[in-house]
Amino acid sequence: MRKFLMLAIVAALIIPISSLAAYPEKPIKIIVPSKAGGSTDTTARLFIKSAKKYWPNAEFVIKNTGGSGGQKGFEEIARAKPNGYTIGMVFTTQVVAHVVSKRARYTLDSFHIIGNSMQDPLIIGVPAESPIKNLKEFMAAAKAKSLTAAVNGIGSDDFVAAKKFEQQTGVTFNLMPTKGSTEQKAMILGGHIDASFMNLSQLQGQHKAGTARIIAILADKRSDILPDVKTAAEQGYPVSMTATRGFVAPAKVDKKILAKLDDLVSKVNKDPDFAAACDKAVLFRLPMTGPEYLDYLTKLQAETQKFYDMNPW
Amino acid sequence: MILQALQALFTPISLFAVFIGTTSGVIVGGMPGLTATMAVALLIPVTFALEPLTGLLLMGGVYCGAMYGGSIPAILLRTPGTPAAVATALEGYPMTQKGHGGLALKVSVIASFTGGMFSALVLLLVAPVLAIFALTFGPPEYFLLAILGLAGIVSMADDENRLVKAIISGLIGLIMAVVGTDPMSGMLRYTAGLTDLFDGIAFMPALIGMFSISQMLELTGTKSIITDTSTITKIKREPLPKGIHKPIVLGSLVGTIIGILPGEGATIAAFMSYNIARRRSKHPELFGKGNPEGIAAAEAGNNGCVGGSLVPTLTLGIPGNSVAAALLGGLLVHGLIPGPELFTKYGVMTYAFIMSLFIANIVFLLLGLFMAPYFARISLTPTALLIPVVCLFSVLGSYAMNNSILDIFIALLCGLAAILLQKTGFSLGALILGLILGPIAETGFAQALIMGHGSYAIFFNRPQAVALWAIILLLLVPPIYQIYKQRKTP
Amino acid sequence: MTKRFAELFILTGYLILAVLLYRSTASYPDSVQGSTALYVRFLGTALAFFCSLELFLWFKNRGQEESEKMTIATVPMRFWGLFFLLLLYSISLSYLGFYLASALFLPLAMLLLGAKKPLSICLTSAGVLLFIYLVFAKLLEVPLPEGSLF
Repeated sequence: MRKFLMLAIVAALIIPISSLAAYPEKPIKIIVPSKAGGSTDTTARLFIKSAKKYWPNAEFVIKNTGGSGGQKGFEEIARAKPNGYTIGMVFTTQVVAHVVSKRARYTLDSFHIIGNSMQDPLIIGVPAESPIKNLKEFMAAAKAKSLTAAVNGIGSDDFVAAKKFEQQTGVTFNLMPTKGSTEQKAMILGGHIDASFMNLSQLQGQHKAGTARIIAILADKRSDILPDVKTAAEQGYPVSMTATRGFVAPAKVDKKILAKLDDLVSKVNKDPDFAAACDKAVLFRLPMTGPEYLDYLTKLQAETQKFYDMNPW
Repeated sequence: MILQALQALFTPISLFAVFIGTTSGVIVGGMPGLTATMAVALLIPVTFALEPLTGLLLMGGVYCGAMYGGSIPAILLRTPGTPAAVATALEGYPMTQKGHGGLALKVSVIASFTGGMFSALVLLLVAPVLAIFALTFGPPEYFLLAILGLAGIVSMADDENRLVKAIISGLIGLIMAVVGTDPMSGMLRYTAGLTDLFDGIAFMPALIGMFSISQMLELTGTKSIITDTSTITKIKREPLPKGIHKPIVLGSLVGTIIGILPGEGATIAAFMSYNIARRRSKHPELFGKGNPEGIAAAEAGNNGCVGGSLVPTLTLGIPGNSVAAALLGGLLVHGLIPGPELFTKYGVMTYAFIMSLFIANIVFLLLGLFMAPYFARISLTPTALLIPVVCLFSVLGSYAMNNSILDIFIALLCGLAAILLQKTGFSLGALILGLILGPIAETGFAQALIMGHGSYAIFFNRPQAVALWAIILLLLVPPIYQIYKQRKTP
Repeated sequence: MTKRFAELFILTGYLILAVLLYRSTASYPDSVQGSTALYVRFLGTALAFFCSLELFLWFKNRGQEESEKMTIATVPMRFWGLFFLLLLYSISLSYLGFYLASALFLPLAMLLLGAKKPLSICLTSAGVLLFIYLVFAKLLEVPLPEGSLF
């Protein structure tokens, strides 16, 4: 650890001397396309805390541009002056869903993808008093009558997950769009709906407290915080879906600056203190490099396009 | 456990945290454009460096203080610092115009204090039971709750002619609320392709425009806010008016109940208790002209929301509103998962936090009582200096809510429209009520239909829904009967 | 413009709005024709009904208070002056940035509204901007409008 710090200090001393390295000489603005206090916002705030270790002279400010499913914020990042002093965060599936539904004034090419840092797998939750205990019973119930399932608005990760589930299993849900996870939670806990597609972090507390039940996690492997919850694949339905939260910059930023930013994000992603803080805040890390994340986003966009073509919104 | 919690709370550092939190909360709440949500979110990384309890105390203080702080500019300048203070502005500002600004501030701080204390007490004693009550409200009930709120429009009108105009205003508010993304299909409607409108017409800028900017434009013809400066040269200290305790009690109750319902905000709570107080008042004719009862009900209502909104947050992890959501983030950061454990395993911290809310209320009570006469002097400032400054804060406040330049233009447009509508007798209060309740009514209606697989029976076959229908009828029938009688007699 | 004429004008506008709103719901997707489209249609219908009712009352009460003038502004010069200054200020925010635009707006508006003492104008303007810099920008890190020119 001490060696590590020494290295960081030495690096910090060297960087300002070297030629390309006036950057960053003023505060770097991170555009967070959601309201203050959400998990994307917390990710950015934790990131800054750790980033200051590696770039001690740099200053970061957060600008929350919430609303319209993140679209306003994504557009702002795409439009920002490409001088390296404005970067931002994106989250899926919204960032590609807006492109697919033709309302975005950006494409994936408008961004340089720096890398991903968080994920939040989708889960299927049911009320605590529901007779449904696992996916098999869930499928049987869904075939018997159309189950009412809540999703966060149309085009969100929940919605795409529900559609994906419908497509791969052949059942159809009575989908109820809501204003967000708060409403979904209230409906699950109050027993007003049969099930809800939502993110793991949003319902894990209720599952632990016994006020709601997670019957399946739509991921490749089980989660560390809820080891008792089986994945959908384990239960015979290989559907996986996750929400990611990563960093991007406007596409036209100078290559050298981008390289530095890439480096910073990958360093923070590996930082043990950052990992510890994320664990505490119930954020699940999923480090991806820029090219990996770009590949992921491109595939996700193609997939979302498929659902949009079948049933446009 | 309570004793241990008290011990943890009565340390210098904890008390200091509550004090600092509350004071900055009052400032944040008093500035249009700064919200308690922003302040709490800023505190989250700060709390890493602190003891978890200290962080929570800071956040709780900010929350309590901000809810009260919003009423100060609402009373003095008709510029609500938070949306929840709009109902306060309806009564408080006319009082300031008559030179009773100091008294209005005093009523507001005492009502806020009582509402806050009552709701904190409810949170401390009966949180889990109430949380279960809150959960029984589903989409059909939320739809009916919106209708209940809209029924208040009828009580805002005095005679037949005014009634039709008030209903038209309410409908215009509801129609303005339709702009944006269709909550069910995700389709964009009436947005003219402007990304800033995808979430609908932003509420705060519209409010700032209708209240603050319109008022500042009207003030251009006068020398001071106080209408008759020849008799009032300084703000006197006045005793509390009689009969003020009834609306305070009423507001505290309504505020706490509305606060407990997840997703319902302090703005609705304030308006509902304002309307109920107006209906039950012995002098309803004085409302809208500066009745301290209105301030009392509205302020007790919005501060009642503070404790109320924490009930589902702490017991179930369902935040009652956006501030509570940010606060929930602060809890999770420290590994505190809402639920029964919070009251047992982490009981010391939880109870210390709840009890700190009492202290926070006392802090802003003392602060408010002490500062009221000084604040009230703002109303004596010459308008030539005051108007530009208030306009600047209004513009900044409209922008800062969503970082949107378009919102400033919305505020200006609303300001001009408000003047025109007011001069022709259309009620602004009804319009705003429509604007707040529109999204709840529409989403509740559509979701209930999905829930009932398309059948309208769902609005009638649930016990809570039936009870709400009964309350709606109770609220609607007497005023309509009264108007009918008035029409027959003259 | 008399008050009654203004009322007629607004009510007619609302009536047109109601019709347009009703007609627009045809373009909603089929899946929401029974829910949100129905809600919007209800709003349109209700607005049309109450506007017609109010118009009916308007014609019935013709002759009363016919001459009542509506004054929007007691001092039109200052009223409209301030409004256009606000409009200019809002437009200039995205070019000049917050501080520069505000430093122009505050003294100009004060002069327009009849402030005479240069010292109090300067002190108030500077004080407000300093306060915003300290509380909004430094303490709470609220992003202020940025200019595109500089």
